[in-house]
Amino acid sequence: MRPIRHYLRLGTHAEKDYLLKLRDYFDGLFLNANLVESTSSSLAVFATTLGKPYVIDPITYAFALNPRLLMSQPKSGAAPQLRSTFASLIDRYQLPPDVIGGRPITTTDLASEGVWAPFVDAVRQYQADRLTEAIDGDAAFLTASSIDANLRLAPEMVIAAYFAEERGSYWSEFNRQSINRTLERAAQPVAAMLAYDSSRLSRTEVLSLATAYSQTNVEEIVVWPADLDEHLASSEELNAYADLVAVLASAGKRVIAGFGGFFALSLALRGLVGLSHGIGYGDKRDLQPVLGGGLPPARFYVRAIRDAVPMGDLALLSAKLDVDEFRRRVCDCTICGQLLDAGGVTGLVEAFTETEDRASARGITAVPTRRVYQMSRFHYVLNRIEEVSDLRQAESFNVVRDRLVEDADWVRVTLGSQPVEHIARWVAAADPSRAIGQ
Amino acid sequence: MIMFRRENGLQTALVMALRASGLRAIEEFPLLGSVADVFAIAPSGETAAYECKMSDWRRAISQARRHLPVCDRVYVVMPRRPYAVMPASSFVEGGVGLILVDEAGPSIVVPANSTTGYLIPELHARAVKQFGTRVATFSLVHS
Repeated sequence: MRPIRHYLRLGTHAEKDYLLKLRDYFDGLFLNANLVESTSSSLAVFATTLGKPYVIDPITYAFALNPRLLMSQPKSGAAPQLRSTFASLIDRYQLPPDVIGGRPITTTDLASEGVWAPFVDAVRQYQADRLTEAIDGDAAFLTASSIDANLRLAPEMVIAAYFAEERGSYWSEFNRQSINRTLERAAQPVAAMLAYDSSRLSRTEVLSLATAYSQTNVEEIVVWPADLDEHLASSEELNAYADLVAVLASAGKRVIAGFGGFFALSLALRGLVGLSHGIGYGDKRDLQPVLGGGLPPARFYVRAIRDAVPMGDLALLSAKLDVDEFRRRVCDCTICGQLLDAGGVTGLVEAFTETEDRASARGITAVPTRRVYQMSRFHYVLNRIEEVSDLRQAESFNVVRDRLVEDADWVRVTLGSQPVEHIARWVAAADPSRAIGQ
Repeated sequence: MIMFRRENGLQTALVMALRASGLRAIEEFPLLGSVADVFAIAPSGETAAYECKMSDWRRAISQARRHLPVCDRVYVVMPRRPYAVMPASSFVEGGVGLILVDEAGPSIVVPANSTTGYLIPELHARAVKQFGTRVATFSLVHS
């Protein structure tokens, strides 16, 4: 059996229920430091109750972004203020407070060992201690059995302070120093985060990064090709990502995809040993956070194309299927199974396309009900759990490839070529027989 | 030549023409978790959904097709533009029709076939019922 660790990311507290209900089906929890910092007590209680190994992403890269992205936008028209969560992290990370908020942090700001070393140490210490500290004040909320679980509240590993790798190796020296220092001082296993903007680095540059990180002493490497949309990415980007994983794995590193969908998961055939993703179709994350925009439309994850489609496409795909065919071709997860049992294929489509009227600036607008969002998210995570299980047991790449191609051919008949175009690129990039760099 | 700057201009022109022809038609009608730009019911009871787009006919076909399970006919509606190349076969293969709108009003360029192959009768019935409710609510609000 292929070892793949499956981590879920908690994006908001509203997602806790998904993780609690699915706790028996995944291996660990990823938390972002800004969420930890804003609600540490609540998360400490949650992590203890969940009883899963967890990892805190220190999101140190955020301080090298445009500070506008870290600010709140008051509706009153007042000047934007640095969000209190980030202000608090600056303090806890011992970053120079006079820099942050006015401009992005630079390598010059962290050039002196008297500045970067305390920062790196504080980031490590934060991950090791923050939830344990927070739990002290909330022990009254925990039951006796969950207090036992408190023994596991230390993180599974700590991630060395990091910034996204850019063209010209701007942050490479800092990242290398950070990894080395964290390795020297951590009591827990250490991971490096290899973050890069996939659309801005060439394949050669990505391979250079792979070689550089292969030469570090860290055993765990979390890879984050930011801005990579698996379904839209070019063959060049996908091949570069697959090569990166293969080079690191061949150097003995344990590689985990920090954000990823089925393509990242398929890289288990090239040495990937872990996958992390969010609940609401969180297969990717840009370096720069998306501001505003409201709730995205509800979509349905179609496993046959490893992608989420508009609900109208679900209806199209389902129109000619009976219940057995739906279970075989589309989905047989707990959510879909219950809907099929209760109302057949039509009942399922009805349930996933339910809307309610809401007042908006444009008048009355029909929006998916809360139940639709809940069901589609559970359905998505259940499918991903099944996919991880399949990849663990897949006999060979050829088995995975044949299934992908056959499924895509079936979907193409109804939805056309566009929704399945990524499959050919995925299959070519993930193929272990493709030589690195080709 | 009428210059439509936005899709809602197309929608309005279409709804006026459909009502003048004796159909009941409304804009922005919820269908299968999204919204049909225009939805109409003929006196015979036949239903149709219309996806209005200023450009990108391929995307329009793909979006319009999502209405196939709940309507008897589905159309893409676009402004008539000189030199625009939109192969009729693409619409036929997609199972949708094409209506072009100009100063003379909307005209069917590619007739929509019946969607029988994709139609889910229960969902079709639900859409018709919702249409009735919407029209009644709209009448109440504007009376």
